[in-house]
Amino acid sequence: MDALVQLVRALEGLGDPARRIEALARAWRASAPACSAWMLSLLTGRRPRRLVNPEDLLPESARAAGMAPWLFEDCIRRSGDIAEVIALTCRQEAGVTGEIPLERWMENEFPIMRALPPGERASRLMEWRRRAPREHLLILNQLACGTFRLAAARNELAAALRQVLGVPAPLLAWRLMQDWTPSADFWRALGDPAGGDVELTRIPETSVPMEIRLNDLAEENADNWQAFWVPRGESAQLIRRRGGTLLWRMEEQDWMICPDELEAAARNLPDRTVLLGVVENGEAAKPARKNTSRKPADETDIRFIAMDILEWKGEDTRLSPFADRRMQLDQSLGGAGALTPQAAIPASGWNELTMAHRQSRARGYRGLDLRRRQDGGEWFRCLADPLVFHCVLTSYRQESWSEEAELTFAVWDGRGLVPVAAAPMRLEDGDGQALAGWLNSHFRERFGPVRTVDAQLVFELACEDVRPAPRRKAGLELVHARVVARAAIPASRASRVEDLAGFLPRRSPQ
Amino acid sequence: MDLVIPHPRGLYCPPGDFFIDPRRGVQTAVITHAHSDHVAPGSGGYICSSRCAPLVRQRIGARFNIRPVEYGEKFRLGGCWVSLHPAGHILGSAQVRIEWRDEVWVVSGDYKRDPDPSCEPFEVVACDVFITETTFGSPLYQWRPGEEIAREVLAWRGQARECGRNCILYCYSLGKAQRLLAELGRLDAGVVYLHGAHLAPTIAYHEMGIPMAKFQLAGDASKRELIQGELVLAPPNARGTKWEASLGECETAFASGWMALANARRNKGYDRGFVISDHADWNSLLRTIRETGARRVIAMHGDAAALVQTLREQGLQAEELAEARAV
Repeated sequence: MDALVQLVRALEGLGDPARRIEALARAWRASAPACSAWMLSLLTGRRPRRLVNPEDLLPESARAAGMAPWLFEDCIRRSGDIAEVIALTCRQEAGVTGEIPLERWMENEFPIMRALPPGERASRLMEWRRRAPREHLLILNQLACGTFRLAAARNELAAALRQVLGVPAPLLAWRLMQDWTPSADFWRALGDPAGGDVELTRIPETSVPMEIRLNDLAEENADNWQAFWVPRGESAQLIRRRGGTLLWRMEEQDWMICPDELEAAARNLPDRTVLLGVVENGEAAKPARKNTSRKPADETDIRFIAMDILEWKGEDTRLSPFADRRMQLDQSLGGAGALTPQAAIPASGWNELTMAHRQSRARGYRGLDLRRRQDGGEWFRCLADPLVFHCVLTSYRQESWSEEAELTFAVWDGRGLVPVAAAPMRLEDGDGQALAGWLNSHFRERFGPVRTVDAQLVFELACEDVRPAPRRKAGLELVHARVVARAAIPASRASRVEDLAGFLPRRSPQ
Repeated sequence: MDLVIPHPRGLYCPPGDFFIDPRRGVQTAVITHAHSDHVAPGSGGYICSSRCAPLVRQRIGARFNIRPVEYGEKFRLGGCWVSLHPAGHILGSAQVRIEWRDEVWVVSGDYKRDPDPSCEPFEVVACDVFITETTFGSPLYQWRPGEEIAREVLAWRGQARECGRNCILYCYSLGKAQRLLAELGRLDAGVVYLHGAHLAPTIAYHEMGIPMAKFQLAGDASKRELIQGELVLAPPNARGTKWEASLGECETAFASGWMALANARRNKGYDRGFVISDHADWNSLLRTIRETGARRVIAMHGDAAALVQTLREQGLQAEELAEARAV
């Protein structure tokens, strides 16, 4: 319990992700396996169901604190959390038992309480204050009232677990995806370096394409290179092992549930095969959590665009000639359906490729990939020229742990401004310093770490793409936006949301 | 007749014709303690406790006429007998006792009852009417001993030291910083570093013989020595400044009674909060009022409604001090 109390206290005000990971790892290192498992359970949002209605606690708690009911309610008004009020105000009697491990609370005390009729639970809860140290009361109360919240981002949890358990990310994510109940055995199994799932979830290392401009290759013989369209979507590996298909999202470092259609298409692949590629329309199938609702697979048209073979029938193919791998892909996958090879560009010579490059956005692609036909297949990527919009700076946030401020930009929607992008900028040197001065003098309001400023400055923002974003007011957002320069135009002449919407992807590019 | 009434310039005593902690210049000012919201320059004469005088001088400059008096020493102002008594808030802090005809009023100023190695302990002064501060007027605020908090601070430094980071503990320059230094000194904390703003009041405490941990200026430009894994005390307005950045990667915390509530700890923007205050907590307020034997209590500073209501339920005559609007 002490470790959890310390952890809650440490995470409370801490914003720096690196330091949060450090705090999580410290808590796990200080805990026994069963306690660690329960902490993980709480951190992944599996709160125990509410045992006590906070309302039921009011009379008894006020009496225990020696307060008139109105005074107790005044305290709740100030604090906002009855669990905190009880913890801060109850008078503790002698004979505190000291440390009771978290697992004992979760495995013994709470179930005993749950077995009681609801009316008796409140008095049982009030009994605890005699048995638990004061610092533990807040969390115990919150657990019982179902108001316990301990927020840690998924990637923070994963990073901390990796530090503590020394298990690779895919294996860890896989084990957490399975049905599990917190226990010492579960914790030990989670960190087990061996186990049947180690081979199943092994992810081969991959190279990433180097971004270049087409001109950079002008000296080369164009015949040595094969060009492909770069599909929109997120990088993933499709893994065929033990008769099943798994999808590993490389950016998110998490598994994705493989839709039936894709699963069926992948069945033609030999076992122990790993493909590198891109998942199109993958949003519909995320995340790979069993308890979240998602659209049935047949309502989505998820496609896996295979770019390369990393393993074929259990053999590492990464060093074999690229042309062979590509031939293998073409032979094994159909040209259409849920599993297709990356579309090749039948162009010869740099001039034709340059033409293709210019068309890539219009055709619904991000740009070109160039693979050297011989050897392992050197890999370059020429992205389409960025889109440029005029956006109005509306707010910014500068966190103490970050070297860059995050600026938020908006465009016009009717008469109002709607945010469409956030871009980083250093405010410490050069242009940033001048901007920092302006931000200070045009500061309007504060919302936590975010400060809004007068909507006067217009910037040229370059971005790779425009994508739908249902959770944004604008309904869309810019992908990988970066600030190019100040634009010397008044805010009223900045881009409009309709200008951006014209660049939204049409479905199923061909 | 009320011996103390609210006035746009501060608390005013009509029969004695003097002000207590006036906000602007007046003829005669009786000062409870040297915090900036209790001392304003421009008055004809200042009366304060002898240990408060150097701190007041630091605050408003030496050109003003400051008359130090000893605790318990009775002096005449107008028709009243006035004396100062320890309030336990910071060094030299005082309650003001005013006696006129048969009536005794006490203005508490800011005070606390918890033991504090950096200042004189609170003295209970019997009175008919007690004007009490209520900065923390809710049962949510119940302090733990300063020594426990100092141990937590040291544990924090220990943890940060392992990672080679400095710990910046933000706290008010006068009073809180020295109380922390005194508590840390008792625990053999080694050298504690200070922001420049903390230096002058700390030296004043040192010269008045308050035992404290060894202290040293952080970021002393002449020495240019980098510190690592050390505890640094700084005023809240140094947060996010270049001075903070010059200390490298840091952990931050705020030391204040407000840190008792989780919402405050989350929203203040510090990594963590230490609950330590130089004001009376709820139980101390009630206990003090009881011990003074006052039949009438006037509450000022902060949200006094809960305290006033509680006192009324106990059968006391209690009210909130009506604020006089500035004219």
